[in-house]
Amino acid sequence: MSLSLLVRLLLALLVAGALGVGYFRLDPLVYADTAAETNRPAPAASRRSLVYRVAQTPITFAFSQPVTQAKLILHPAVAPAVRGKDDGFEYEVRVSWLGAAGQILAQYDVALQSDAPDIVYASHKAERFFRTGTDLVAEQDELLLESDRPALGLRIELRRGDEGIRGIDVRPFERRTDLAALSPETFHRLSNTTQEVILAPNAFPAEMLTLDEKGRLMRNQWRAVGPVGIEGRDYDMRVLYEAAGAGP
Amino acid sequence: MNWRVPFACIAGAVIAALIAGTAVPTPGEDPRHGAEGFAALMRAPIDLPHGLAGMGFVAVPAGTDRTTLRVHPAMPDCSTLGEYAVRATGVALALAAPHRDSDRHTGDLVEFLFVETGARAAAWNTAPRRPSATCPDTVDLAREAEHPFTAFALAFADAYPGGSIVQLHGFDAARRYSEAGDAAAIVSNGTASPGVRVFDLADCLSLAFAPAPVMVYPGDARELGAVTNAQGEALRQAGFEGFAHLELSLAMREALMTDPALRARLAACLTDGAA
Repeated sequence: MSLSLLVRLLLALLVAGALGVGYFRLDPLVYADTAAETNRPAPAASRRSLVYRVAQTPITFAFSQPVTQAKLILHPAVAPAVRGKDDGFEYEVRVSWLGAAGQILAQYDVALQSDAPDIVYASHKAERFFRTGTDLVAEQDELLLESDRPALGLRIELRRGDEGIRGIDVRPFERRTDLAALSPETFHRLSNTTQEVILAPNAFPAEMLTLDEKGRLMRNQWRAVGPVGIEGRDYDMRVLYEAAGAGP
Repeated sequence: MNWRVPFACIAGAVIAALIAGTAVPTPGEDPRHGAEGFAALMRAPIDLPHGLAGMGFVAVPAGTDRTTLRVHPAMPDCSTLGEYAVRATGVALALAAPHRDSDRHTGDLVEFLFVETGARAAAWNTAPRRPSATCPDTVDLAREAEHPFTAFALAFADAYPGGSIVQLHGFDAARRYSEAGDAAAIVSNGTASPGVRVFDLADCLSLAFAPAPVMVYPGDARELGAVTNAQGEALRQAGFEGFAHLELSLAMREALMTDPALRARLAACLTDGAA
């Protein structure tokens, strides 16, 4: 059976169209693998954070004042070869609360599981990535930590991790005790700026919140903390990008 | 109506247009007024070009090696012309402080960084941003499209198309109602589309200033993005992609003034981006 010129033309257009769609729908993480040596572009609305890489050696973070509550946001950085690992990654971190002299006040081993990048970002609704290097970001976890005694530091150590994990990137925060200690009634005595900061995570304006809700928001304020030591020797850091929609 | 009237109007309009077309432009009429003079200065910072002398500038050699020429108004008191420095050799980087009177330490930081980075050019405002009893004639250079400050930026962009022009500003965190209040620095290129160069500069600064937060407009901070900055706009229209607007908190400016190591890290980030 021979095809007419028109049919051949239509078939050619169909194939070209399919190739075009395939090209523009390339998985952004595939692009990330191939552009490892250059700084990749990022969507304009990307949000950026500093993360600290916990790998062979532990990292110690210092609080600005004695605190009993801290928060860790953490995710494994994994090699491109394991980006689609079906059962994800298991890893274990040891978290130690430290006193003023560096003594251990309390210690916990926490086991975590993260889905692989191809699974976490399959919907492309939001993605986390680095603009440099080949590391991919697996599923994020959040740990809320509490100490019986006020602590001045927190040490984080990677105890074990599945093959393909290059390190755990962490963002540590301390509870803002200045706001947590206030009663809800004091909310309206705070400056406009502070009220704005407290209400920022909430979708509703201040007029629609009860005093209890305002109090809960005041207790849920966190401040990022930094590591102790010298960069390159005691810790490594990098900039993590988070973007809604398509990645780089 | 007399039939001569329309002809007289047309003739008058033609003559007026001819006069306007041949008149010597003055500041406030042509964004490139003075750009030729600044271009000549950048080619050979030895003598003051006639064009700049005619605008009211004088020049003074500066620097230990005498390779820098500083150009400032002949009548410095409250002059709105601005002050400029050009170096014969160095990095394709221009530093600018358009509000050195109101954005505390930015003028001094540009002085320091001009020396410490080896930048080719630097610029400062001379008149205050806001009027006062002693200086009633003021100008906000960052909003003046037609000014020697803008002409200087355009001349630099012509001379070094792959270079960087970085404007230093200062903000008051207490007056910010968004996440910008938490920032130590906010980087932008004057648009809502930060390109690779802005992200590169911001990433470098994030590591240099850590753990102090460095934000990018508009993803991290939704204000202080310099979207009305006159030099940014003029440079974009000229096809120059190396404009960066760097807002610094007072705490960060004070830290940079007193900590040479921190300033060296900032200098390294600024020179990394300059071709």
